[in-house]
This record gives sequence, structure tokens and C-alpha cells, in this order.
Amino acid sequence: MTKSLGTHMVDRRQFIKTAGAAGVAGMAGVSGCMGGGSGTTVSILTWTGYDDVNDQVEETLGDVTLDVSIADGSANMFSTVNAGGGEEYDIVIPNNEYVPRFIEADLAAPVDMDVVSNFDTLYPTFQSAAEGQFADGGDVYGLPVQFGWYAYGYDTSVLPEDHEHSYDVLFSEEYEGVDLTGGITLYDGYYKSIMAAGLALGYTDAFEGDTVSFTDEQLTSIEETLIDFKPNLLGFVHDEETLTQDYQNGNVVVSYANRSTHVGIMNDVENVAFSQPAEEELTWFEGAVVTAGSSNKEAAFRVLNEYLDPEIGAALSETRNIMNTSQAAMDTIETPSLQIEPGVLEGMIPFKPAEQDAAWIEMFERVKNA
Amino acid sequence: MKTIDRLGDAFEKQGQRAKLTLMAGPGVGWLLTLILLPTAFLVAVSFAEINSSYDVVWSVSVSNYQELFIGQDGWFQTPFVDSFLLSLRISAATTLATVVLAYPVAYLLTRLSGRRFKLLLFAVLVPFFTIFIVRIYSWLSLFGSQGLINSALVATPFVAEPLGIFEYGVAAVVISLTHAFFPYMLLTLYSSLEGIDYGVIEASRDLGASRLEIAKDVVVPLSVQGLITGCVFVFVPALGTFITPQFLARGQFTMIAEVLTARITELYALNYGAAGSLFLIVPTLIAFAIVMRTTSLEAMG
Repeated sequence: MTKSLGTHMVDRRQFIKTAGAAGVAGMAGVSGCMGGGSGTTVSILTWTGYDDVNDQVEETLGDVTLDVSIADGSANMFSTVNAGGGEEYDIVIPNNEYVPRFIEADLAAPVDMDVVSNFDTLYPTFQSAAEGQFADGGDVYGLPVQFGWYAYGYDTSVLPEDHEHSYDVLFSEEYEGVDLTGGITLYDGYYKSIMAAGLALGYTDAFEGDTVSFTDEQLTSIEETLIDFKPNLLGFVHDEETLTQDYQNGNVVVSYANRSTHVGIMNDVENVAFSQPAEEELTWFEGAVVTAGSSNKEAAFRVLNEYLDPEIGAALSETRNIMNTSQAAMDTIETPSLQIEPGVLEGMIPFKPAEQDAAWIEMFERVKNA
Repeated sequence: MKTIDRLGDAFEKQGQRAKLTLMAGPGVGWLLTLILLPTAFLVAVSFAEINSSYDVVWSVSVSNYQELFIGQDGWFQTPFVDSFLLSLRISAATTLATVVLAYPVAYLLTRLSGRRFKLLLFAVLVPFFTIFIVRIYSWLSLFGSQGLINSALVATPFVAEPLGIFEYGVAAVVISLTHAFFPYMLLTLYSSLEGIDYGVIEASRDLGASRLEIAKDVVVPLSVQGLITGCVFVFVPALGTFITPQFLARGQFTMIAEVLTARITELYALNYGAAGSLFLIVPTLIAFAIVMRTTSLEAMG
């Protein structure tokens, strides 16, 4: 009985040892398969479309694997990274006005300019923007990657293409003899809609400086304008699918939204065009940040350098219908909808953080509930 | 002998306690981990502050609650209060609409059997097997001045111009939510109505009661528990709805979940969101308290 028990115990130990060894071997095999053997996995939190160029980036870099997660907006990117302490992702690519927030929260690492050799290929406008808006204490913390701007799109079968392009269209019941009542959409977001109203009211002085700062009187005037004009709106809409359906159904005549959103709509709906208002356009650019908590910073900057590479940058632009901040990348793009007029960048106002963020959002809520 | 008996009893009691601990332990642990602790965390954050580096600073501040209710024009003049009251009205309207629509269908279901019962149930429930977002896009096509409903109406000689009720807005949201939550009400009511002894209804008829009197004095009182449960099952999720107004309100108003989400994502105001969420829990708790006082578990289906 004792012998039998002893034999049994030895067998069990052997079994555990064998199973443990098999487990370790198995785990090693699995991790080898997942990681592609040796090499670095760079995790990225960004917008849709970046994952379409994963293969090209991985092929160029050789020893880097990309793990791309998609976020629904810059605000979500900040919330996600801040909640995780900044260690879960190596790279995050919000819109430019959110990069200062990452810097303030100590979530961004200084850019290693020795690695990002393509920085010099950026349009001078974006080099300056990086060295201004993304800089703190002599270091640059973000890289402009892609850009676009906000203006209005319109149904050319209702509003002729040769109308005088102006933000006044967005706040007119009738424009050049065309009835726009109930056919206008503004962007469903406090930041963009308030800035559009501010520009239409001629408050360009608010856009000078590092932040957008309206005076109390200007904010009151913007609120009154938005509330007074609300009955003439179809509503506040921002997504491409809804606007596409609205144009298809003939619900909307003029829509204020992103240029890339309208390029997408134009691919599906005839008789839609994008305006070039006489006033300045509000320009956004994606600011890529390598997180302070990243343990793969060098690999992360190499990846960002590839997004600015002429070929990969062009492919990224074409897959996303969005322009690249690298002039070299833009020079290789042939798609007509991605061409920009010479000198167009000079008249643009870059997005900047709002000085009175909380007051703006509360005002927008009041406008919506009015 | 007595000592042995006492020892035996003690062991038996200990065994029962161990069994009870073993059986209830995982459930209690689950409740603590996933309900009570997160709620306690929510309460704690609602009194906290967020500093300029976007960190939560633990404190005991009522400023978040003040922000909910005190606006620039005084008490209760805030977007939170406006959206909260509007959400309550929309949820109440949705609940009422589901009751009105589901009651006759549920009653009809109890009167059918076999193939006809299955066919009707299938016909009523089959739209709900599609993905919610797809249904939302369908509603998007139906509403609007140029939507399918208004276009069809204007094509008739009876309607000259698009009707406001089929434009995007409160009506569109209520109609869509009624459609979304209809099965909850239907199945709860059916479960309750099915338990009614129809001998009582026949007896009422024999005694000369009209159809309306039977419905009012017999059917509704006997199914009131299911009715209350169904109302809670519709009212509570409708109150916190987010996607439907995003699409069908067209930003012309904001329901409470949208206000809280915007504050949390856009401003990282976790404290404001936590304080607001607690007020969203209040009507839910009241609704459940009503159910618990009036309804048995069996009646809840």
C-alpha cells in the first residue's frame, strides 16, 4: 500500500514536471508565433486607415510589428491613454489641438529628431506648427502627420458652384436666391461649430495666440447667433454616413464638416462639392505622440518616420482621403481630390486648444437644448 | 449522550454554514466586485477634483453637484437639468407608447395557440433579430422632410407638405425607442397575461360586462404586476439611451447620457460625469423599488 502510494506520488511529480515543461515550451511557441520571433511590437492608438499601410511599414523596417487600435476621436484617445497611465500604447495620434493636453499630462515623450529624418520634408507651415504648438521647454513632443480643413460642402444642383463662397452661407435663410431653410447642418461638436460661428461673425482676433480665446461678449454673441439660427438648421451632424444619406435623400443643401468627410460623400453622391470660403479655413493636423511610458520609443519614432516617407505617406493619404503634411509625400500623389492649390496653406488657421473649454461645451449644450 | 448530541448539532450547523458559504460566496463576490465596488468608486469620484494634469485628486468637494444644478442664471438653469427632464419625458412617452402597442398584441398571443401563435410571435419579433445600428439607419431613411414617410405622404392628395411629426427630433426618437423596446414590454405582458384564468373573463361576460369593462376591471388589474415590470424594463434603458438620439435628434437636443459622455470624453470631467451618473441611478432605483414592492419574481417572468 505504501509502496503503491509512493509510486503514485513519484508518477504525479513526474507528470507535473512533464506538463510544466510542455507548458513552457508551448507558451514559448505561442509567443514566438504571435511576436514573429525576435523584434519589437509597436502599439498604436489612432484613426481608421492607418492599419492599411501596416504591411508597407513592417516590410520597410523589418524588425517591427505594428498593433493598431482604432479610437473614436481625439478626446477618446486622451481618456484611454490617461486612464492607462500611458504605458499601454507606444504611439497615439490625436488631432493637433489635443497634443498640448498630452504634454500637460506628462504623457508625451520628446521627439528624437535623429530618428525622424523625414521631419525636414514637412511643409514649412507644419514644421513651424510642431515647433510652436507641440513644443515645451525647448523640446518638441509631437509630429504632424496628416492634415485637412473644415469648410462647407453643398449640393450643386440647388446652390450653384459659382456662388460667393463664404461662411455666411451657414447662417443664412436665403443665399443668392436659394432657400436654405431646414437644409443646413453644422458640425456636431462644440469646438468646431463655435469656431465656425466665430469666424462667420468676423472674430478672427480670437484665433491669434496659442489658444482660441473669445471675449465674454463674443461668446454671448456666438451663442445668440447659434440659438437664433437653430430653427433653420436640419441639425448638428458630423459623420460621413449620415451626411451621405442626407445628400442622397435631398434633406441637406449645405453641410459644415471636415474636407475628408466631404471627399467621401463626393465618392458616393453626385452634385456635391466642397467650398473654398473667402475667409480663412480652420485647419487640423494629426499630431503623432510617442507616449512617455513607452518602452519602445526608438522603434516608435522609426514608425512615425515611415508615415512621413514619400511612398508610405502617399499610400496613407490615398487610403484615408486625407492630405499628408510631408511635401515629398504629397508630390507623389496623383488623386485629384487630394491635390491642394499652391499657397492654400498660408491662409489657414490651425486648430488650437480652446481657452474656455468648459464654458464652450456648456454653451453648446444650451444651444442644443434651446 | 447529551454532549455527543450537542457536538453533532454543532458539526451539522457548521456544515450547513460551510455549504451556504460555498454556494453564496461566488455570487456575493461577484456582486461586490462588479456592482458595489464600482458604485462606491463612482461615489468617491463624484466628490473628487481633476487637476491641470488630468489626474483625479481625491477630496470631498460638492462643487461637481453644484455644477449640475446651479447655472449662470440660477438654480436648475443648467444643461444637465434640461437634458435630465427631457430624458425623463422621452422615456415616459416611450414607455406609454410600448404599453399601448404591446397590450393588445400580448393579449392576442395568449388567445392563440400552435402554428398561429408561433407565426405571430415570429412576425412581431423578427425585426429585432437585426443589428440595432442597421435599424437606426433604416429609421434615418424613413424620417426627415424628404424621408420615405413624408415623401409617401406628400405624394398622396391628402398631405400638401411634409409633416413635422416625421421630421428628425423628439417624435423620431420616441418612435424609434418604442420600436427598440417593444419586445421587452410585449414578452413581460405576455408572461403576465398568460397566467390569467380566462374563466374569470368568461364569467364577467356572462354577467353582462362590456369588453371595455372586462379590460378595465379584470384584465388590467390581473396583469398589473407584469405591466409594472414591463414599464421598468422599458423606462430604465430608455432613460440612458445614447445612440438613438445621436442619429435621430440631429443634435437638436441632448439626452442625459449624451451630456455626460461629452463632458467625460471632451473635458475629461470624470467627476462631473460621476456626479451626474448618480442622479441617473436615482429614478432607476425608484423604479426597481416600485417593482420589488408590487411584484413577485414569478410575475416578472
